[in-house]
Amino acid sequence: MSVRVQRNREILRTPAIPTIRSLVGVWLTLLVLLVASVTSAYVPLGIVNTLLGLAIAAVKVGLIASVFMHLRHADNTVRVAAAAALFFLWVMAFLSFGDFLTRVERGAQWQAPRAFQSAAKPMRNRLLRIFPVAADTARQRPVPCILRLRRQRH
Amino acid sequence: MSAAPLAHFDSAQRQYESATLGMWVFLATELMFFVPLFLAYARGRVEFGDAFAAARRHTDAAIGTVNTAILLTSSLCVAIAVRSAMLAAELSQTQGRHSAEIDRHLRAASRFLWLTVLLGVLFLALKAVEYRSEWAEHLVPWLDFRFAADHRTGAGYFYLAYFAMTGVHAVHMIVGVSLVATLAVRLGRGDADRANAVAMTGLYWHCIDAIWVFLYPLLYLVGRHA
Repeated sequence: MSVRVQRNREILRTPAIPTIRSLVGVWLTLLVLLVASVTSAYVPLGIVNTLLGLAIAAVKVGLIASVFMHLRHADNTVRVAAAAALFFLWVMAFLSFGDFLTRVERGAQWQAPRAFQSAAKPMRNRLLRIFPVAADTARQRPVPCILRLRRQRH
Repeated sequence: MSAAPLAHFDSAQRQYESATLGMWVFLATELMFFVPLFLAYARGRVEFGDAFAAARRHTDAAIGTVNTAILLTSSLCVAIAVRSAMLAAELSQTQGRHSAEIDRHLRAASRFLWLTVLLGVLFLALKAVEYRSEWAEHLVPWLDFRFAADHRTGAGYFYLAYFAMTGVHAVHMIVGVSLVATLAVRLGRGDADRANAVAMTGLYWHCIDAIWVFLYPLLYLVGRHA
């Protein structure tokens, strides 16, 4: 019984094939949106320029996905796959920016802890005896060069 | 939607649905591949705002805009080709034999796929012209990169993101053009079994198009007025 119902359902549901008219309509809309995004880029609006550019791009991609990629008539499983991609992208972006945007740039120079300095000094002298070539540059620095690597402000 | 489904599918409809789901999952992984590049860009934008604006003024907005229009048009061609291939497959399924009408649809699909190949190659050619002028202007990071000293680091970051994003996109375009060309040959020979392949290649092509749609304002437009 259930098999028969299943079969009937399948015969009735053929994939919706879009009409030429709707495809061309979407294409024309996309071109209009392209012109809109170019024009808006030359009007100084500050941060709104970026947001507008991205918003227009999102509308374009929405049109491409729903009509060209048949998402409008797609199965729920396919929609879930597409939505899952967007959801995990959001998670990835959120976590990444939760890190980048909350990093604090310290004003002070990085300094080795005192105990570490006293331990590093004899080690440096020993290294200088082995590699005397490095002595000139190394003498100007209170700590080994490698420990002074810190992020340079542009 | 192939004329005859593979043995392990109940129906052609089932086969089409499975292929579509598989393709969307693949496209999701493609997004995971591209979006970190967008995040890297956004991070640079936050850190080097002024330098990004300065660097962006050196990209070619005209070529970028023309290339966007080319890709949008190529997506239309693919969509029409997919439609024709699906109609051909549907007819060959219901009629169970080859007819002049099926041939007509297949030839139309093949023609639109060739048009897509042409537009794709045109896109890549314009991209090459752009890369060439950027090379001449010393805008390629690490390879004798030259930029005004106050914005050097940020501009280097911008061009690194620019070449990574457009480069990876171009590689995808080359793959797409090869796939579409192969299918155009097959459909031109009157192969009605390729409707699924055409539909899946179409999804891939639209996805690459959609990624470019987001690249375009970020790399060519934003900060243009300043």
